[in-house]
Amino acid sequence: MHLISRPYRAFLIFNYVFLTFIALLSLFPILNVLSVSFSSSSAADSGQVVLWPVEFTWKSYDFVLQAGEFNTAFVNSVLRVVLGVPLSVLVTVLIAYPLSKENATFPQRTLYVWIFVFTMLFSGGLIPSFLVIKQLHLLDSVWALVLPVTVQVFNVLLMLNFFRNLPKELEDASLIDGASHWRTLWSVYLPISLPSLATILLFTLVMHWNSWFDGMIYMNDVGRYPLATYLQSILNMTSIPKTNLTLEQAILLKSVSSRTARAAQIFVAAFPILLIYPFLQKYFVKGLVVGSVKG
Amino acid sequence: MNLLAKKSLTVFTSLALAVTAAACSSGGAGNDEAAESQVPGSESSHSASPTESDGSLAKYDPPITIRTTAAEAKDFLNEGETTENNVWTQGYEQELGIKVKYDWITKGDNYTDKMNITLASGDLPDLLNVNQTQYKQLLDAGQLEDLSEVYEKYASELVKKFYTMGTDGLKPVRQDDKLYGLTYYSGSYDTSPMLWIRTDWMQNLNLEPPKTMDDVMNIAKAFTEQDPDKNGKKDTYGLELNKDLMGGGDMNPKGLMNGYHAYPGIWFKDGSGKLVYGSIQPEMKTALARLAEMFKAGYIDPEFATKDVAKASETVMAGKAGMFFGFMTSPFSVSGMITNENQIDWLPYPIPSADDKPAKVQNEVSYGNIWAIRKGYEHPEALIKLMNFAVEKTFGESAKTEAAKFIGESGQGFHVAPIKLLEPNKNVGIYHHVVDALEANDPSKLNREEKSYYDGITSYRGGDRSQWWFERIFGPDSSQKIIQHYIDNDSILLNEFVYPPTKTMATKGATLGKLELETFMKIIYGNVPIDEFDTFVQNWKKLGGDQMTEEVNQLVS
Repeated sequence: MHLISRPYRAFLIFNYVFLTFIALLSLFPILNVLSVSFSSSSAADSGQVVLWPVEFTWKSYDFVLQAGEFNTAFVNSVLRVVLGVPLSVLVTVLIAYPLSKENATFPQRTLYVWIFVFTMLFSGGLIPSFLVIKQLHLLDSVWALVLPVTVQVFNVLLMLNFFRNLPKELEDASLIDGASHWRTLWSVYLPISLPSLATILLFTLVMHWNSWFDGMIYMNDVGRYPLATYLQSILNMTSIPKTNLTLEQAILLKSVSSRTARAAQIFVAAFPILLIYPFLQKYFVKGLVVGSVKG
Repeated sequence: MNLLAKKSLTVFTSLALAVTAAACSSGGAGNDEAAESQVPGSESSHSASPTESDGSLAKYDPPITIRTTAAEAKDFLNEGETTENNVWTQGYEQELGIKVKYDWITKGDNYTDKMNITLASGDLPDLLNVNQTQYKQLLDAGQLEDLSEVYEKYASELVKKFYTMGTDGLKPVRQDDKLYGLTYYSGSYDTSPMLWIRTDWMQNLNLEPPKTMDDVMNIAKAFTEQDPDKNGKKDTYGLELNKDLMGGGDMNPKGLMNGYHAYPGIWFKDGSGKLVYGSIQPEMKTALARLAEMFKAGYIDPEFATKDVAKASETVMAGKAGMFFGFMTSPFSVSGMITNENQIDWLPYPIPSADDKPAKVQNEVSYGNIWAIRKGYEHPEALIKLMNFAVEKTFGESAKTEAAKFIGESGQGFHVAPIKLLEPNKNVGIYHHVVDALEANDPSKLNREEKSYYDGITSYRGGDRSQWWFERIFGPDSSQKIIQHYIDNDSILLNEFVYPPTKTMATKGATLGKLELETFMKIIYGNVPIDEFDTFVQNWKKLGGDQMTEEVNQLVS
């Protein structure tokens, strides 16, 4: 590089310092939870653990691996992701492709897009949604966690805009060569859409992994809770109002697994996502930006 | 989105409940109950088992089904049991002919949310386990069965006795001279404030237990200034508080206020016999002024305004504070710091008075959740029978032989039962039994639950300091001893308002509560002069307080 002007250099330095600070700030809670999970109970209870484990121990992880409920919930979550993510991505692509065509090829295209956008702005509400799921006899089924969130309109728009950004000549060429629309989508569009595919994949994955509320309302049995719901319910135990606590409630509270065990569970739960992020990262930024620049 | 969903839930429920109220009585009864309608009612089954003279435990033949809901109590199930199938459900089926079926089972805090959705969706279970607010909604929507008659007819002597111990245990569920439910009434003694002090620090500094509020001040001063932990650093405080003050639970200033004859947050009769709100009485001003003084002098953790109960107990367990006002359950808040490697110990003391008038301590009657029966369910008396059964198996004649089976090793197996009632204010009695057994070195007369506490104390005395809390709750020098002291001196003042929130409370209670908390906090921190209290009282009255007082008095009279 050539000369970097002084103000620009100052700006760069400031930028790096500032962003490093933000990065550390984001890292801190994760590190704290990790350290708590490796510390002894008494050290964690008295707030001695900040960045490094105090009185290092694996005990909490032993506990997590033994706790049957945690494992069941983990399996439920994996099942949910395995069913939900491919289905959602597939449906998203199938919706986005036709909607990305010009008005000439797809009359009333805008109207259809608006129908989708409408659902983004107005939803059925909690009770009606619950009633629909109930009447469809989906309560207690993994499909109750998969089907209602299959079409993520935001992802559809992202994909749609990405498709619209691709050179139109690609489609023309492939159609002239005799390919059908299915063939065009599969062999021409998708291979060059990897960035945005990765993006919606990640969005859907994280959404499925993290949502707990639907698990709570649609599942009538603790054994069917996905991981996020399970975690939410054990972490929330500590928020049982402590005023007018009876002895029995106090003993109940005490029986709740310790802070270190909870930290270990949080970490084990977050781990799969942490693991996947770096691999999708390079597509992620690109896909998001490319998809959103042009309307 | 989750937050949004949760918020809309609360708003929605109240609306939807009203709308679906009409629909659900027909919808709920329609599908599941068809089969049961042929089942003979209680009348015939009553005569079917002539051995039970009062019918309180008469068996249904053929068996009936009752649908309900549950929050899982997994830790208290025996090996291999589930919430759907355990000693309790088997007992119901074999001895009462009642099959308990669960519409859903949830975990932890989610129970209330889930119940809200169930109420709004209209498919009510036969047996409703709800909180006071939900109870009020159901009642207003006309969804609850009147239980007055079946309670009189079927409730066992023991159940009736439990509900009249201390005070009327069914007060919140009596409306228009009718009874609409049962409560998980547990008396009030467990909520008595008391003062907890670190005794190893007191010994280090040669301090005497407090007799007056001035002594408390002096101990706080010594703990702050004289290095009670002998580490050569001035890093300790006298008193720990939490950021929600009265609303936060442990480490609150209630006890201190009681010492100054102020009773924050509760409703009690003043000289004229009218109910008044404790937080706006002139005594509060004195107590707040004292707290502000202590804060200024540095005796209180200066960062308490950022700490909830969990954080506050962290501070205490880190050895930063040596005194707090708590409850009989407070050992749980600090037990984490008691290990075999240290000599830390705490003792509870009765709340001392600031003057020559003995201090009274404020109590809240704990009614817990409410059990009610959906209107239209054919066997409303089943609820009463289930209750008779639970009480009989844990406290009645058959408890002697069967309690082991039902209460299990933990002594806490009643958490598993969908309906239960423990002897109200039982813990003081347990304390006497345990102490007697310890003195005689003979646990043979103890019941299941008492024995588990006895065992805890002996293993603590045997050197296992992780069992410390047993000693401090049920031992000879324990929180129960303090409660016995309160009872002996007749120094308990009950909160007389035990009903679901009144209309104005529901609409303005939160705002007023916030105003109260903020004002008190500012006064303690010294941000505003103590006279700000008078302004607060005026504002409180103007903003709906007067209206609330009127409603409360109407309700009680």
